[in-house]
Amino acid sequence: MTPAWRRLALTAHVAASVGWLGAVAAFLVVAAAGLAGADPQAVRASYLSMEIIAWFVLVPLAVASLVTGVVQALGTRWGLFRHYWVVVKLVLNVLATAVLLLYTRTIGHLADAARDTGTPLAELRALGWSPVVHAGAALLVLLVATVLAVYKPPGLTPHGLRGGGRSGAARP
Amino acid sequence: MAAPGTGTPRWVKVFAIIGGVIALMAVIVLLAGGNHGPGRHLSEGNAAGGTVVVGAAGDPG
Repeated sequence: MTPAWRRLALTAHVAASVGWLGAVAAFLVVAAAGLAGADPQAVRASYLSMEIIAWFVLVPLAVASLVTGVVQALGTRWGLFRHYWVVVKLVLNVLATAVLLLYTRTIGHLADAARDTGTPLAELRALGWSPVVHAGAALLVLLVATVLAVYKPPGLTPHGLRGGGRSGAARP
Repeated sequence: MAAPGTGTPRWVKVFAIIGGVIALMAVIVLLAGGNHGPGRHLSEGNAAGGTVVVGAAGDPG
């Protein structure tokens, strides 16, 4: 990649990844409000909001983070499988995206329960632990990925030691 | 610790151990609970349908 494209790709990756982290933090707060809220309407609204945030913010940002991360790795000297920190970050990103996509089904069921006026508040609250736990774990994973991206701990993979994947630009 | 530039760094080993423990715990939860998904959170008989109708017609509070 040329320096201009490299900067554009890096900007896109940072924006998507940090945006994903912030969106998960917002999701966690909404989930906690659903778990602890006393007002039935507010609890139902939080569950419905979680579904909207998941489909229109979390999923797009997760996919964007993954795609721009792969582009960024392949287009620079870092490579996708040369450095351990890149590999670990890729694994965390793929796992977090996969779990998110699977979890949208649960979020949909929770939103359906919230739409149903026959669901008592106590039951809605009882359902509320799951999104709080999942969002908390996601926040932790994304924070670890962010730390890896900033600190870039040293270490070449066997593939990197053999000199594989050196086709990128001269600098990251 | 491995010499610089060779071997697997310690931090990678720590990550691998933590990841392995979490994966093992997930497998144990799946095997013990048998149901980790939307159905786990919903009332009996409603897991497949997606809507929950439980008792009273309104919220108690």
